[in-house]
Amino acid sequence: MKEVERFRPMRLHKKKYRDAKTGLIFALIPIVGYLLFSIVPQLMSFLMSFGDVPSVYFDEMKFTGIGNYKAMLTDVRFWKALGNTFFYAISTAVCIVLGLGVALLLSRQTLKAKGLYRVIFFIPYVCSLVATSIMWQWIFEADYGILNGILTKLFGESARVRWLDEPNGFRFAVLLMSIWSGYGYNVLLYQSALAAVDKNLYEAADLDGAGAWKKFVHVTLPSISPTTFYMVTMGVIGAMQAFTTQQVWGGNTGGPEQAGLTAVYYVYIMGISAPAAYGMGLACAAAWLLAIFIFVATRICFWTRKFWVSED
Amino acid sequence: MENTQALPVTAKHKKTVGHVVCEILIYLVLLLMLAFVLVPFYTVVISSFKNLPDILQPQFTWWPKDGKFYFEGYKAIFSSENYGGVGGATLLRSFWNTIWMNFPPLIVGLFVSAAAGFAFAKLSFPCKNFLFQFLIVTMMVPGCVSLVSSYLMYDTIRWTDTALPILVPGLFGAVGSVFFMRQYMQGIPDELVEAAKIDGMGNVGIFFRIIVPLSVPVFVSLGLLNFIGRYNDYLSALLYLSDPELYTLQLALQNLSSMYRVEGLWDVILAACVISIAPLVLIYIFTQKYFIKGISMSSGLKG
Repeated sequence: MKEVERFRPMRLHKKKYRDAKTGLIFALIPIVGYLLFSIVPQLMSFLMSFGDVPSVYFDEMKFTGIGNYKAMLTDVRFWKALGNTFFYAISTAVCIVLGLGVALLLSRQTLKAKGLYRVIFFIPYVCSLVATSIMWQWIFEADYGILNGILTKLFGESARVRWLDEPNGFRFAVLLMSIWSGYGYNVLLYQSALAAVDKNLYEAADLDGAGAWKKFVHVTLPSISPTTFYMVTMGVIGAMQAFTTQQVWGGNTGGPEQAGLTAVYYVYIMGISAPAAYGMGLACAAAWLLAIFIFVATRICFWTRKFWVSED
Repeated sequence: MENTQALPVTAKHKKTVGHVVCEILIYLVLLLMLAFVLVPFYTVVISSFKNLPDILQPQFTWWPKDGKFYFEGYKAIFSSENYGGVGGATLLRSFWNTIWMNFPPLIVGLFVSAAAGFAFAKLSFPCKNFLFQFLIVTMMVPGCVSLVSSYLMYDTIRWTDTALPILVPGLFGAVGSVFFMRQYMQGIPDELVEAAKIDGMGNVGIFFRIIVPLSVPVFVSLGLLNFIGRYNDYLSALLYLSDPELYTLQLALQNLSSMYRVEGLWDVILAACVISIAPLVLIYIFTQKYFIKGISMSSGLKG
């Protein structure tokens, strides 16, 4: 077979052509899907953000220039929603610190049943946000929930907090639940990262007489910085689009005094749940503004990389 | 993975009192974290087995008051037929909806993504680099942008209130999956592909007979991750489905809970919660090895 091919270059050509054909077909299927179901709505969204879409008919759109953007940038609620989004992003930072802490504890050689810890810490991440939000709604329930049960038992009836009916309680509840559901993922990633740290570095540090803290700061932290960078960047992108828990608890109102109104939630209310009152055009403009914020935030993350992330 | 030396203990002070105290503290902290993760699950599961008057006690108890387990909430979910009064039957229907709407795109999508990954990893074709760059760029636009417009798009082509917006896009594969497939398949030796070509095998045959069998681990890992993502997906159902008959599990669960909360029927809500979470937790516990592999792979980090 091999010799035959050597003497018949035509066949080789044919093979190359076949490679090109199947390669193109194979590669193009997801790209076509992406064009149809992602690029088309993205373009539509871009157009809609410059127009007024009175009903749910795209062809009835009237162009209004940058009016939507102006309206959003001067809209108090939009800024409030952005502020709320930034506030809830605190949980991302807590998850990273907590994840590292727990991963460090789990990395001790003397510890038994490490795998079990890891499996358990990760369970909340597997569960749906809707189900876990309802679970926590039960825990924070003002009259029958376990949290108020414990508080009133310890401190009397005056300690009862109507968690999800008042803004600060709502904020605290979302933060606590986000930490609960998110940090197991970071434990997992940090465990892999810690296991991959070059052992020779520790030995070298030992020879230099470095203590545990110095080794942590000068060996461990720099070695796992790519993982931290990944978590920060993905965490920022995810946190900026927080929606589910707030919506499950807040329904179509945004929670008590709109404490749960995140940017995506606001987009959802304007464009989907009450388009008649706001208009889809406004919603799209808000979504693009949010996308710009996300883009800038990611750029900043990448820009700071050279100061604290060690590259291989 | 097991013998990490993040905070190494040197032999010198291994047996000192300080070390023992330290060790106990570590176990305490870990126990606290375990409690933080597990207690919420426990309160929900145990409450779902209480009867309603017991659930609605002002003082939460860690065990049913009369020591007996009740299944009223579960019975409501498994018995009722009508949607309006009791949402139970819909929870089961929505479970079935989640399965049939998501399995075709899950399976087909995996193979399509794998084929694309194979093309990018092993074949040469025109515009290869351009197309790959294109895929990377597309991943940078956040999903929030098309939240509203995709609803409008599907509404314009009359796909809203059908399973199509959930079912069809996934059939074309997913960009993320293409990346990981490509990354994995680059590790398959070129010689294998070359040898098969010399034996006269076509690219399709190579894909199905050589690449796919060698990529079973990545299929399993990505399949699990995608399955969990799809099973838990709430937003697309919320956007595109308003007919209760078509509700997916997460949407039905949210609907049921907001309806019953008004009436204070927490036994049904909690039972629904447990039923909807249980399959995933079981699958996760039995497949966690693949699962964790998938996570480390999809994060693109060593693991």
